[in-house]
Amino acid sequence: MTDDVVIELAGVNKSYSLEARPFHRLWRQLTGQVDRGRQHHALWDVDLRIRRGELVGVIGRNGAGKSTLLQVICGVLDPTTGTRKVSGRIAALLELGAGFNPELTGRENVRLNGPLLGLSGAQIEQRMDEIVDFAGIGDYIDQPVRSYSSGMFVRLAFSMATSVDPDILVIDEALSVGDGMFAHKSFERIMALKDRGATILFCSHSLFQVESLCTRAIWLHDGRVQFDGLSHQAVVEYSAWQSREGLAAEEAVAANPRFDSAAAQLGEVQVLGAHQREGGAHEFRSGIDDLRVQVRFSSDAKLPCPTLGITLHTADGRVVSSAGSWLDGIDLQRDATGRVDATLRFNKLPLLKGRYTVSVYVLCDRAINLYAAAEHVAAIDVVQHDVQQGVVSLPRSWQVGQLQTHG
Amino acid sequence: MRWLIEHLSLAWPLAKRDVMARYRGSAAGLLWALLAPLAMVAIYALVFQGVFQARWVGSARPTTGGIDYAARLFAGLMVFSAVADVAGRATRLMQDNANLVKRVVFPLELLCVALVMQTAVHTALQMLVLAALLVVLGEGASWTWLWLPVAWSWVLLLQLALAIGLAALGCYLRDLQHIVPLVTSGLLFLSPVFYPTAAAPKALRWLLELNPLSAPIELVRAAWFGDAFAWSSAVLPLAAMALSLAAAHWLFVRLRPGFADLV
Repeated sequence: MTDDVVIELAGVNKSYSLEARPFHRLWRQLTGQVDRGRQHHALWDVDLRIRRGELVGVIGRNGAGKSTLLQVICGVLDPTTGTRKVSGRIAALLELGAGFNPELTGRENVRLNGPLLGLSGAQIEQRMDEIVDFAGIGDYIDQPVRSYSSGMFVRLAFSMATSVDPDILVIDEALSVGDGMFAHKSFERIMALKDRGATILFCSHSLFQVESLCTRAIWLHDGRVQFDGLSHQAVVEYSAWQSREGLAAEEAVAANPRFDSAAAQLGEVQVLGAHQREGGAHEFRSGIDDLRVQVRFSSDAKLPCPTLGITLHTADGRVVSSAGSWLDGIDLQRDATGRVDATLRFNKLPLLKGRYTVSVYVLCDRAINLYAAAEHVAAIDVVQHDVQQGVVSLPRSWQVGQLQTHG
Repeated sequence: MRWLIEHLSLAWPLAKRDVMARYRGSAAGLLWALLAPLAMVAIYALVFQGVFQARWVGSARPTTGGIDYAARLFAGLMVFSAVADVAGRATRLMQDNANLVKRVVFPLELLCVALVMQTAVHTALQMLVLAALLVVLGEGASWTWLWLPVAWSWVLLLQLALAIGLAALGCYLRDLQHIVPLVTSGLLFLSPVFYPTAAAPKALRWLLELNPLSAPIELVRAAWFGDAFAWSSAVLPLAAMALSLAAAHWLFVRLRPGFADLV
């Protein structure tokens, strides 16, 4: 292993025996024949090398083996075959507080879990104040953990897990935890760790988040690495596959139709400017009607003002176009209560005929942490009177006559 | 050695949590650790002595009669119940701590160490009571009590072997949860708890000698009451104990990768 590679998986397989007879299982385990008999394979032959300081996203549909992969990397699960090499201190934010015992006080739990994270007793005492402080639970630290609210529990667990100066952070799904203020703090801490050179691995349903955060992404499908490379390529490959399978829309909606956090809550999303309405869909004339998307959301006034992203999807879920307030240099104005009203306008909608959906995202001020999302919240039908083919009418010009041979 | 100290310091809070959790909220609290075994001793002593007219064969103090019998019974029962307690709970130790098995990277053998530690706390309390009883009743402290740490180390290692082995097997063979309590309750009568090995009839003698608990029980009692102990009779059981500790550890290491899928 070169000293730059911090995580190396070679030929990792993870399978679960479907053997139900206890003695057979025992015997197989004892004799090292665990890969015999009927098996459920969660990971197939995974090779992975991750270098120091990389930010890697893991994408894939439910049951593709994302969590299993992260668990193997953290060492919670042992690979059935293959090798795993990890150098450096690893902080697993997989199931926060899983090692906590409800009967013990917060302080005792921190002491008990510290050594598991690679801290000595003295180091824990040293960091104790900082951990308690960051978690913001005050005197509750000396109360049994069972008396904590779920927010306090997660805050303490997060505070503790990230206080160890991890070299590697492994995060499952939620990048931020707790209420608005803490979500912001926790996300800032993750980013600070990243800036200090920590390697970060996380899995997410939100392709948007993966693409905006990571340089590299891994697409897992049925336990195999289907794609490993630049994150935007991975997202393209993955959504192309999704649309081939025709499950994008349903799956996206089923997975996360609408999502709010304490940091921001999406209110009404309205599509305006339609030529006429039929059923649930708004009908737009291609190249004639202006599409307006009106969004209202409220945000935690204590946090920096969020940013807004809006995407247009084809019926099979691929993104045709997107707009981000931060990309377009727009500062959203919010009133004293934290409410924001904004309207995005596409003049003379250049989409060609077909059905499209609109998704709306509220992100943090740096547009990386997702606060709220409403995916495929509205559907629009585009009609056209000519026979142009495709999804979009690009601005264009013709030159007729003598062919240009150079440039 | 460093490894051992670090592990022990990790296991202690686990043990503490279990002791605390066990008595939390009950009015008598930790007193139950004493009340329960004392009540058992009282009942057994009443039945065996009051009803069956049992006498402790070979006791040098026949005059103290009932108390002497009860004290000796207590000394033996302490060892037996400590071991039986560990064995019974070890069979579902991994299941009881599923969170630690499945969700975090945790040195699971610590759970076994913590389990043994936890019963050691109970036993230490009971030993204090027995010591106090003997002093109050005029038996007085004896120099042979200095052997107690040696005798208890034996018991602790035996407990550890059982804890490790049964915890590993218990994941795979759920039936052990039902078998072990059955075996231990029967074993109580085949251990030199109510009678010394010397008093056992020939027909039972070989069973007692096979019982890994016999020798440590005899040794502990010898230490308490200053009886003679034939060390030659300890050689085989000690060797067997060391061997089974090694075997249990091997079993644990070997079976461990499967725990997470089973609990």
